[in-house]
Amino acid sequence: MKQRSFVVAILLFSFTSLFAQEAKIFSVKSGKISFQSDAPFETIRASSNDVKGLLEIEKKLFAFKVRMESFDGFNSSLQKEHFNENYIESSKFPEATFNGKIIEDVDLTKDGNYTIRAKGNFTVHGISQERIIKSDVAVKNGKINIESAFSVLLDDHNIPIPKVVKDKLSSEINVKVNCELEPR
Amino acid sequence: MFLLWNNSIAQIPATYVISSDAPGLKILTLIQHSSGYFLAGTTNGLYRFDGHSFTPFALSTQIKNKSITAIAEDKNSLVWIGFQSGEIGFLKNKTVELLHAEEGHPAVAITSILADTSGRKYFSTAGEGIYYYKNKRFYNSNTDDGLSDNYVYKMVIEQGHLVASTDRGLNIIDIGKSEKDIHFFTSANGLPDNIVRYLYLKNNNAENNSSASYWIGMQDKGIASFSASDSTFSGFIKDWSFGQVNSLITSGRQLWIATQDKGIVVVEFADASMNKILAVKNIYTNFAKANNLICDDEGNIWFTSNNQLIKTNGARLQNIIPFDKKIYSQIHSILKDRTGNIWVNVNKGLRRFYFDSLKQQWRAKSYILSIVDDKTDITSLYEDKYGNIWVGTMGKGIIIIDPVSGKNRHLTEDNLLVDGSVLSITGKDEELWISSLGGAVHCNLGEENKDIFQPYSFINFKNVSSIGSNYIYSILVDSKKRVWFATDGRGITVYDHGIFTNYNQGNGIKSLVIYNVCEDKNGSIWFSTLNNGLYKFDGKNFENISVEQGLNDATITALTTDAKNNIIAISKKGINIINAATNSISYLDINQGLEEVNTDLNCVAGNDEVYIVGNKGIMRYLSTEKSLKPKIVLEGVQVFLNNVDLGQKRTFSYDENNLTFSYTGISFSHPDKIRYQYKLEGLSQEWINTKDNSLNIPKLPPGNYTFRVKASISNEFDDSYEASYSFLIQKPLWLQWWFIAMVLLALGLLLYLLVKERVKRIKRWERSEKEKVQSQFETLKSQVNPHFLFNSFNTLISVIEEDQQKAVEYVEHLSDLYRKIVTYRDKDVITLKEEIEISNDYFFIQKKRFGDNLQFKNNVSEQEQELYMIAPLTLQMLTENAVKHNAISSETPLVIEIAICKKSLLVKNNINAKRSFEKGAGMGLQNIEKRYKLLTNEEVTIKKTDESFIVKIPLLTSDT
Repeated sequence: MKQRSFVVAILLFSFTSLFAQEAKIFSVKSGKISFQSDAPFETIRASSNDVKGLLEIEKKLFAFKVRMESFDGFNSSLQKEHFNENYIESSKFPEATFNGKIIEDVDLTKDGNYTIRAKGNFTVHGISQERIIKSDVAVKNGKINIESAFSVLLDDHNIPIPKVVKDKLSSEINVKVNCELEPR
Repeated sequence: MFLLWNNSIAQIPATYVISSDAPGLKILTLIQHSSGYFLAGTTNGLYRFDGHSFTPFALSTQIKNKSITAIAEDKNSLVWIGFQSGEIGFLKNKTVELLHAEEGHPAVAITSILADTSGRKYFSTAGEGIYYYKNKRFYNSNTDDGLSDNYVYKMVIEQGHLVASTDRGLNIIDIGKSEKDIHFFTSANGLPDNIVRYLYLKNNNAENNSSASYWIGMQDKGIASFSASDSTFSGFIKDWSFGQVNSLITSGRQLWIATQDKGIVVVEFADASMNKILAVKNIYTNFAKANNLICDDEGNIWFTSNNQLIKTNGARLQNIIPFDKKIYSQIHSILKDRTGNIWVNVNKGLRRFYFDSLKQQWRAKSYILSIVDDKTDITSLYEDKYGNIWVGTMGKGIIIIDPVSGKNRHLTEDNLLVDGSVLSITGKDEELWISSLGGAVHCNLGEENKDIFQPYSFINFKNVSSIGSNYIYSILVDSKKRVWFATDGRGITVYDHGIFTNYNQGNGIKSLVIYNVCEDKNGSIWFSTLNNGLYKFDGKNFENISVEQGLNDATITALTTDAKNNIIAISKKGINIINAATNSISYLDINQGLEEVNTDLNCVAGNDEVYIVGNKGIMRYLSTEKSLKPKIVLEGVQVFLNNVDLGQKRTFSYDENNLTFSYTGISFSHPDKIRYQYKLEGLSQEWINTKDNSLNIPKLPPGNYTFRVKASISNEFDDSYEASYSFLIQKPLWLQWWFIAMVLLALGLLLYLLVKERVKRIKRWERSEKEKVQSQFETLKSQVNPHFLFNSFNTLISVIEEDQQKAVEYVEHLSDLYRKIVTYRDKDVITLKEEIEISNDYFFIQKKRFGDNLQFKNNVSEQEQELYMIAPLTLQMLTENAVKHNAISSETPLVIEIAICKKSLLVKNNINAKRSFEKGAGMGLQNIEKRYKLLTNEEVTIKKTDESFIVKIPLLTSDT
């Protein structure tokens, strides 16, 4: 499994330019990832525009990543500090990644709206989980727009919640992604 | 001569069709739910089958697709449903609901569902591999993870391994380690056909318990056995010609295979280890697209074909040697010998059926017995301990055949036989007994009797009066070597250590014609009678089991036991299978395709397998652990025809007392024989039998109840499954203890208040009486006041002197005044007019004394005087007070004025107070006030200014 992820990463990040013309690789031109924690006493929202990602539409492979320190919008600057230092440990695990393959047999070269399920490894806080993420994909005029919403259990990624903030931090974080991709 | 298996004579199966408006409805998948029902997934949604008919389930509007391709029940009895569209749902409150999944549902058909003991669910798909559902999340394994193909047909879990069959071989996933730990086997590993459509876990018996092995069904190459431990394939059937395999099931020593084009293929093995194939049989060939083989709790094997659900008897009852009715009518006896051959008498001789395993056919060999002619019947067959076959005839004695050499020997009366007419031959080990029309004959087989031509030592029991009759239908040597004689008309006799004991009507045996005897595994002796069913003798008591106990007929002609301690009793209506331990009865009859069964005395061959002669051939009955006990499901409880949530509500209010219980007994073998027995504990302690599947009980009084219901296919309910529902009907409000207590308390309080009020009223009345007396006393006292009398008499003297006539008038008024005072004093009220008249009298008298210095102004009209009432002597007392307290002279005249104002009488006088006070001052006023308090709520008000004294007396009307 690890090996395969590695291959995907290599394929998408290192040699992409070589295949660019034939392989039909799309990359993220603009994107936003936001998350929200709805706890009884506090709602925390943060988002990042620092989304990088590639999508190969023939083999339907993809790889996305976001830099954790780029998340902004917390209720206080102290909260952002805690997020990076105590929970996510951004210095040790600077990125969250999701790479894998689309399950559905869809032809993304044709304009249209598709609902696809992306199966891959979702890594946060250095812990990798296999996930299936349902996304709405719109292909129009050679551009691909991806929208998806999913949830992340902190427990799945070994992010402990101290008892003190139990009512301020939800164990389930709702994540929304919106990306626009263009051919590379 | 040999006979082939003939498919056309195979039993006619029971076929059930889903009636629906949906065109081209097909059953796609089928399971049996733990409650007993079948659940069928069709192109038109989910249906339930209860042995009788199909009932559809509602489908949530969220579900777009109606085609159900997979069903499974998890450990919590929750039913999971997979659709053609890839959607996944579950059954809740009789409705198929869509599963909410963040990951979305698969986009291709769900081919199968598995639920393991940990609560995880597995969904195989037609093109997306396998999905795992755990902790409310979906995960996926497909070719990217090492699966050999994404088109998965079937999954099986055993010992922590998930085996999945695909279009490209078999996959074994070590789910104990990881869902991604996948190994696969294809044709390169010896798999005969890469397309494996079906998987069936073999019953692991003791020897190969260590590793799981499976039957696999393939696209073109038929079946194979796969052992997971050593990854080997075996057990193929060479030159498979039945095409695509859709489904597999094992039953006993048989493997049933549902094929796409050729109906059902049954593979029979030599033993339970299923290694050696005995026979392959193709049946139900007229059913296309056979699929979904399942074996119900009762041992029936079912399969589907398009919109039909077909019931077969499974391995339980099969026509193994079909023949036509002509042969059937000739047979009087059947025997299965120790080598598996089946002997019957046909056409003046014997026919031996043996199985040719090479040709996969039963063949027959005939033995012509020269002694037997047209008039001779062969009545019984017996195999002795040396394998020689004894043939009993009617009139021609016994023929002993050595099946090895084919030679035979004829024994007649001459050879110490009592009578040439033999009814039955039985025995055990070296003991051999012959029953004839002339008594019984005992033979002790010695070593030498291996050879049929050696002499036999017979002992005659002729005219042994202790047996009771020379006419003996059959004899049994039991496990304790006792010998039982079934006599014609003399009951049953046992011979034990040289002593004969006869049991007859004195022992409660109603019919003394005994046909047959057998012994169950507990040593109880069972015997059949003419017209009175069976008797079971446990050594002490004779228990009668007849029609009342569920036996299908009162006359049982043939009797034997099977391998599972059941008594097999044959009557003209079919076969009774009686559990020897519980006496519960189930049946094999027309429902199982048994149209007619030979009821001759010796037309059953018992033990491990039971052979019966039917009108279409020799039937084999295989005893099974599975019981035919019907399941029972409490479908619903209704209160005034409104459904109650069975899981929730158990308490009803007093007026929710019209309850309807509906229940279903599920019998797949005998759906028409279902009957119920119910009891409503709390109302009655008696079980009530019924055929209705619902019960309405109106007007249930408050209390605790338990509704219990059982289902049975016979009249025996002791061993039946039971469903129950406990509930409470509350007492109405007015019967609740706290309500009663409250009411009592309120009543007490009311009584207390009433008593208190009464006491108060009495006291008031007493007081009013006292006041009245006081008032009278006051008035009288003032009127007999010496001053008044003195003044009056002085005035009288002067009047007498002036005018005698006026004096008379004066005295008249004086006496009038006293008369009125005396008349009115006892009354509560008098009219104002009467009161004013008193005052007029008074004033007349006083005016004689004071002249115009005393003035009385009456402003009250005559009408008002009549209308209003007043307490007697009120006005009188006030005027008297005014006269008493004021100095009256020409300079200071006293003017007393009365008027009515707002329903009150105003009495006003000017004040010109005397210097000295007469005694009794204030007594009169107080008296008036007290009296009025008792009469009315209006108050007497007294207003005193410097100039005048005004008293306001409330007036009463006659109606108050």
